[in-house]
This record gives sequence, C-alpha cells and structure tokens, in this order.
Amino acid sequence: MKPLLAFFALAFVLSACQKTVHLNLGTTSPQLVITGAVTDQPGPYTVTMSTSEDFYSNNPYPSVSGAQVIIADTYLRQADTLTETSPGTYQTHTLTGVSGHNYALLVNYNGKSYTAQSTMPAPVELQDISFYSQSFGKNTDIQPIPNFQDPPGIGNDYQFVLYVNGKQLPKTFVFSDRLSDGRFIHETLNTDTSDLKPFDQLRIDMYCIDPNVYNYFYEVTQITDPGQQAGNAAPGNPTSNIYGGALGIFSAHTVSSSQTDVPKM
Amino acid sequence: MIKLLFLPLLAPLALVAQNKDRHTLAGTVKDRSSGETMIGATVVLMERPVTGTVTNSYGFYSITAPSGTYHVLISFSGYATDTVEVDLHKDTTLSVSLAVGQELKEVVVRGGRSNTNITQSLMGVQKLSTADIKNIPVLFGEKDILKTIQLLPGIESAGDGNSGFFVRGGAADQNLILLDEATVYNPSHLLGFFSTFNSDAIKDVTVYKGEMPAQYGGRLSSVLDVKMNDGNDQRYGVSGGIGLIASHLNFEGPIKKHKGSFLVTARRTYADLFLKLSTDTTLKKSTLYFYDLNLKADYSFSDRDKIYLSGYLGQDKLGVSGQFGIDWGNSTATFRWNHIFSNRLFSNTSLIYSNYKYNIAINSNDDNITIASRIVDLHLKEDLQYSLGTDSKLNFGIDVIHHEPSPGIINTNAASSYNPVSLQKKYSLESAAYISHDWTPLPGWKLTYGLRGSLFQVFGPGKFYTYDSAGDVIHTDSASSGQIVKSYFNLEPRFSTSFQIGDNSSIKAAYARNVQYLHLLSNATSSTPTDLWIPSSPNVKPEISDQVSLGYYHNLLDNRYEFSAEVYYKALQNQIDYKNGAQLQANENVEADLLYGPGRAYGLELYAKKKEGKLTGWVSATFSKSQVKIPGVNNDTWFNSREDEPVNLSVVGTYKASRKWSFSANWVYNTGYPVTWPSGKYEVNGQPVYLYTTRNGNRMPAYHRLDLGATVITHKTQHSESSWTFSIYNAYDRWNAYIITFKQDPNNANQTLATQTALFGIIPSITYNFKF
Repeated sequence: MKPLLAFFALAFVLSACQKTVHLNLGTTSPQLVITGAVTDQPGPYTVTMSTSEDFYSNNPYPSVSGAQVIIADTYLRQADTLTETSPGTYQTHTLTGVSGHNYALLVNYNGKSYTAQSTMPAPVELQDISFYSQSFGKNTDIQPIPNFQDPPGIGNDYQFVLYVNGKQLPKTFVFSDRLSDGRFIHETLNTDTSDLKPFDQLRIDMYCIDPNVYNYFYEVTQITDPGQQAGNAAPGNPTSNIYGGALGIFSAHTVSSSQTDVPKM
Repeated sequence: MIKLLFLPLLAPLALVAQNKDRHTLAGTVKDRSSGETMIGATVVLMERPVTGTVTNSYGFYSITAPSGTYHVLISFSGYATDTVEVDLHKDTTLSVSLAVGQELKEVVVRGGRSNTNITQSLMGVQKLSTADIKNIPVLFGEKDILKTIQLLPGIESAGDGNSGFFVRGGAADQNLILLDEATVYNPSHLLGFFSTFNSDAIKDVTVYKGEMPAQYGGRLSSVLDVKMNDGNDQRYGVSGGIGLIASHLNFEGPIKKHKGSFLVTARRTYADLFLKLSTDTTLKKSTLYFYDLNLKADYSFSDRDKIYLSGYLGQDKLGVSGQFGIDWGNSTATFRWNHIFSNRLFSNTSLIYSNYKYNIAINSNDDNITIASRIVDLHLKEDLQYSLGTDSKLNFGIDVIHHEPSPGIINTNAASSYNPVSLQKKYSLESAAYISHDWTPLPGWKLTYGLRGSLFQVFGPGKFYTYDSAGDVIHTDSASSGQIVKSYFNLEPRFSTSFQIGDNSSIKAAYARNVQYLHLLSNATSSTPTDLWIPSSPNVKPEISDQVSLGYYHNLLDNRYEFSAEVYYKALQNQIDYKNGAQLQANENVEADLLYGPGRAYGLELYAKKKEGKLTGWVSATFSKSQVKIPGVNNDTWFNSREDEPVNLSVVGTYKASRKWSFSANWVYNTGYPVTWPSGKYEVNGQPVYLYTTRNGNRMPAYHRLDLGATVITHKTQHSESSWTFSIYNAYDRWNAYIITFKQDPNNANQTLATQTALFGIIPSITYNFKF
C-alpha cells in the first residue's frame, strides 16, 4: 500500500526526461561501518567491517582489519570472540542463535569501542511466493509477493532478501505489521523491471527483525530507493543501533526461505 | 502593556465628537456594462485632493467632509474617469457606473492615474486583475493566477510548472488562500501543474506578503485574497475557450435587471482523452483529469441590502482502472450579506463552508483498500467599516472557525494485507476579534494600526498523548466530547505607515505579528493531495512570526512608471521539521515524529512597472535568505530552509502591436533550492547506502526559462469577440532539473550515479477564446 509511490510513478511516466549528471558532491573523511548478524540458522555468523568512501569513488569499499570483535548471548552469558577470516570479515566459533535471546556486539578498534544490542524475535514462516505483473509499453514488470501469516500482536517486523539465480539483489525490502496486525500478508515487493525475468530462479529469505533494525532498514529504503528519494525532501543517515559513532547495523533475526521459478506472465 | 496598545485605538473615537458640521458621502462604484461592483476604485473630492478613498471589496465607499459643494472624481484603471458635482449639506448617497476606457487611446486625465501604491499606508501588497494575467504566456496555455503571482517580487515558485508558492521564505502552508472568503486548503490540480482558480471566474487578486490588515489571520507568510466575478446584471453573455488540454465555458446574466445576477463558470481538462489513443494498455486504462465549477449569484433587496451566494466545486481524478485511483477536491460555499446601516457604517456578514477531501482506492492482489480523509470548516465572520471622517476609518469585527479534520478512515476487505483503521477526528475552534484604524494625521502621512486577538481551543473527544524524546507514548489523556484540552491565546499587533515625499515618492514602514494554528505536514519534495493538515495541540505549539519592513516608492512620468524597493526581516517561532524516517501516513502518533525550531528570513525586493503604452510589463528582483534551526539537525546550527532561493528575477512584457495583435514574453531566473545530497557511500548487506553530512548543504542547479505568447483578435464587436492565443512554454527548451536521485550503476556495482529528472521541455500550445 504505497499510494504516494504510484502517484510519483505516474507523474514521471507522463512527461519526465532523465539523464545522468555529474554533481560536485565534495569529499568525506572515511567513516567506520560495522554490519553484523546472528540468525536462528547454524553458524558461523559474520561481522563485516569497512569504511565509507566518496560518492564518485570507483573502488571496492576499503575493509577494516585488526579489530577485536565479540558477540555475546546475554541470556546464556556466553561470549564468542570472532576471528578475522579474510580482510574485514570476522566469524564466530561456538555461538548458536536462539529466538528470544538478546545478543550484544562489542568491537574494539583503534582505541575506540563500539557496542550494539539486538533481540531475536519469534520466527514466522514464509509460506510461499507468488507474482504480480504489470505492463508499461513493451516492458512487463514482474514483482514477487511473499505470502505469510502475521501472528497476533503489533510489533512484528520483516525484512526480505532476494536472490535471483543465486545472486543477491542489492536492494532492501522491509514490512511492518503496524497497519496489518494478524493478517495474512501478500504485499508486493517493488522490484525494478530489469530485476526479474521469466524462468529466473528466485529465492526469498524472510527475516523477522527487531524494531530498531526495522527502523534502520526502513530509513535505508527511504534514501536508496529512487522512487522514495523523490518523496523525501530531507534525507539523513539511518538511525543505527550501534553506539560509539559507527555506521551500520547489528541484527539478530530469524530466517525462513522459499524458492521458486519466475513464471512467464 | 495591553492598555497602552488600546490607547491609540480609542483616539479616533474622540474625533467623532468634532464631526458636527460634517456630512457623509457614500455609495457604490460599478462597471456600466455589466453592473459588476469595482474593488479599489479611487474616489477623491477635487476640493480636498489629499483626502481620497478607495472602494472596498464590495465596491462601497464612504467619505466624510465639511459641508460644501464638491466635485467628486471617480477613477479606475482601464476605465474612463467620471466627475460628479455634489452639494454635501446632508448625508448623501452617490452611486456611479464607469464605462470601459477606449483601448489604445491615451486618455489623459490629470490625476486620474492611480498613485495608491505611493499613498496607501499598507506595504508588501500586490494586486492583480484578470487583465494583468490575460496576456502572460503559461504552461499548456492555461491562464493561471497562482503562476502569475510567482512573477512578483518576494514570491517564489514551489517547482517547475507548479502552482504552489513560497512568500518571503515561508512554507507553502503559510499562505492563507481565500476564494470569496472561504479557505482553500489545496489550491492545486493535477500534481500542482494547475491551480484551482479558473481565471475566467476571477475578478481580482490581492497578495499581502506578511503585513496583512488585522481582519486577516491564521497564516504566517501571506494572504492571497481571491474574489470571484459577479455576473452581468444587464444582459446574458456566454464566453469560453477551447485549448489543447482544457476547455472552459462561462455563462452569466441578470436574475432581475439591475437587481441581481448569476454566473456559472466551468472548466474541464481532457488529458486522459490522449491517453486513450495510446497503444500502451496501462496508459489506455488510465484516468487523469480535473474539472471545476464556480457559481455566483447576487441580489440587491434595496440600496442598503445585498446578498451574495458563491460556490466552488473542484475535483481531480487520477488512476489506473481496476488497480489504483485517487480523487481529491475542494468545495466551498459562501453566503454574504452586505448591509449599509448608515452612510458611515458598512457591514458584511459571512457564513462560510469549506471542505477538502481525498479518497484513495487500491485494488491489487486480493487487496481492496479505500482511504478517505477530509477537513471541514464552518466559519462565521462579521466585518464592520465605520467612516470617522475623510481621513479616518475604522475596521472591526469577529471571526469564528470550527475546524474538523478527519485524518483518515481506512477500509479493507477480509483478504487484504491491511486492517481497517479510523484515525481520530480532531476538533478545534479558532476565534478572533480585531480592530484596525486607517488614519491620515497630516496630509501626506498615513497610518494603519490595529490589533487582532486570536484564541485557539482544542476540544475532545479524543485521546491526547505525551511523548518522550524517543517518541514513545509515556502518558495518555482521554478527553470527553466538548472538553477543552488546550487553549492558546495570542495578541497580534499590526502597524503600517507611509510618509509621502513630494508628489511622486513615499517611504513606508510596517510591523506585523502573525500566528498560525493549522500546519501542513509534508516531507515530500513537492506537494501531494495526501499531505496532512494537523491542528495545534498540547504537543504542537502555534507558529508565530514577527515581521518588520521598510520601503521606498517612486512613480515617474505622471504615474506611468512605478518603482519600489522593500526590505524585510522576519523572525519565526515553532517551525516544524521531521525526524528521520518520520511516518506521516496513517499514523496516530504522527506528533511524535516532529521537531520544532526557530526560523528567520530577510530580503530585498525591487520592482519596476510600466503601466501604460504599447509596451507594458514589469521587472522584479528579489535577494533573500531563509533559514531554520532545528534541534539535532546540523549540530543545532542555522541552516538554509527549502524555501531559500537567494536570487529570484522575473521580466514580464506585453507589446500591443495593433488592434489585432499583441505579443508577450516572460523570463524567470532563480537560484536552485537547497537539497541534501550524499557526499559519500558505504555498503550494508551488499547494497550501497548513501552517507549524508549536512542537511540542505547542496543546491539544485539554477532555474531559468523563457515563455512567449501571441494573441490575435479575429473578430470584435461591442458584445462579441473571438481570438486565438498561441504560447510557447520554455521557449529555449531548457530541461530544468525537477529532482535528482541516486542509484547504483547497473553496469558497475562499485559505481553510484546521480540521475536528473526534468519534467518539461519546450511546450507549445494554442487556445481559441470566444465571447458572445
């Protein structure tokens, strides 16, 4: 239910003309980025550390090595010190993610500490995937619909990660039951025309995420989705759950997957 | 303090006592051929030339002077000036009808040319008549007052082709837009490309840029007072126009000759007819149109009583059949009763209804969802004008508005992903009483000063929430029906004065405080029909502005040329901004997502106008600054607001080449508005996320555009006329940036790109106009 989006879309279809422009966006000093996750699937779990770069940089994001990274299950009072397996990638050893447990992340790097906490919500099963199609001229937009039952009680938040022919789609999709508590959910994910084609193999991983993680990724969609950028006059950095001044997010979430072939529509 | 404020208000009453040997001349000024009352016609006693007056919004004037014989001179721009001899030995009524002046012929009547821009004490006022906007070329050839006022100093456009506007750095919701006194909450059609004002139905438009007289209130930045045409009370007439995108038709005539008239004006766009021709199946199924209807009737029961009924109905429809639809529109109705108690005391009583609503329907994958929202106002207003003498007039009255916004009722079917929700209705009463005195203490020195007291009361029933800094509810109060939950009272002093220097120049100064109790929430780059109006509440404080300004006015060559320079400084309180990720749609706790801070705006406005001759037009230049300071944004420092466009230029010219042909052109330039662009990027879960450093730290590219127009009259007799209007919008085809968005390069995952979207290139159009 995104009437505004459809509204802007229609406006652009009518008469818009688009071109790529080069803007003077200046330079920024690199900032530390930490992303990490604990799931209800078997480990190891990964924390990634990198830095930001200039908008027009054409290089891979610089990785950050040599940090001390610890994830603790605060319920079981067990801590796991991660090992850097490749530059900027740190992995757990013994930790097993359990729904309902609270996880804490501690990172020590360059004399500064960064902390974050996330509680893994109860799991919800992704039942299956269906599709919705709409044609504009020669293009046919095929968009996936994850189908699942939202449990009673407001506060269930979801994230969807899409894999097309095994490759992750670099887009963020989230859904909150704020207006949908207890419903059977069949909400279209707004993929682009070129993202899905008939006979592609599609896998959707549905995460149940905690409210802070939902807010973070909701704000990510507001600044990354071109349609939402058009409707957002005051973009800002998403509110992170990491204390200490780093960008990124630490999420403890469940995973439920479903896989299917994209039909010809 | 309050006593001191009232003291000058009482002073004029003392003057009444001296008025024994004085008598009052009063009456109405009308157009001879249509019987239409004329707003702002000048009435001067030749024997006392310094003491003139102008007719009010209903064409009524009143002058009090010592006994004697006078020559009364009545004039109005574009009309032949009339002179009448009057023996003023008792209170006398003099109503005058003026005939349209001969076109192209230079009628030179000394003193007939208006210099009210110099003499009147009000400043920051711009007036436009239909004649002013007739020849200015516009988008799709559709004449539009809201786009024409954007060519005036201090008024900025809200976007390419957009009817939204910002006055002196204030947001779009800080403009009070009135159509025959009824508030119009959404003045735009079709995403803002057209205004709700059909120029065929409009008589007169006045913009007050912050220093409004005390009878206006409720918005910070400006008042746009639009008066609808009266019908012709002498003969029936039909006029209309057929354009590429819209057609309009106007029908008027007498209800009873010289007693009453009616007017019906209708307009309909048909952009969707072109969509039907499209081969694209989705476009073919699309709906995209609007219509509006203006109705007006008036009737004089006697010389002392006249009633007016005016109505407006507008509706937009946009959607794709079977999938998505949105319709929205304003409807207003105004009933007015003019009563002349005596030649000195004029009264107008208005009863006004205003309704803005939108409805959304969504049908897709088993979802059938409807969303309905509306805001309903009931408004009672009593305005009185009392003439104390030739040089002294009192305006006073009361004003009560009942606001009832219903932010949203969402209905869904059983199979839908969404639950039905009804957001709380909000109830409030906005009341005001005002008094204002126009006074000429000495020849050449005019003064308007007044006071408006405004009271805003928030009523139950409803739940009222208190939030902590994180935006979580920490306390809930339940109010019963009719219970006053919160009251705000504000005194709004208004003051302006002019000192004339010689015949041709004056200096003016003004101060005004304005208070705004209703706020429009919109964090989108352009206005949408679903933007949310919220009333002040225990959490949301009224917005307050204090504006001071100073101006110099100079007319040349017997008032043929006008020049003005005005500077202003405005201090604002309780301006609204949004937290990151603010959820404005269907959110009962929307107030938890708001931030508040002070604002400031200042600027210089230059304006030069040529009023007569083959070539007429104006040049306007504005240099300004508009900033806000919001806690938690940009380290709590002042930063440029969305409305900050430091340089704004426009040049407007009309050349009457012959009786048949006239040509026009306008050129506009403005600095790009502030935007927030990323300066860097980083990766989260395989996706580039943009890194922002400063809110509004960048600027859109500068905007400029040339429009050209030509009108040829193909047939003209006394009562009938036909003409063709050709216009070219954006003549040098500059693709002005409407929005810039950012995305990952589809061909290189390491690269991110900026994409500029432009809405309009060169757009020619043609319109056929007729009248019989």
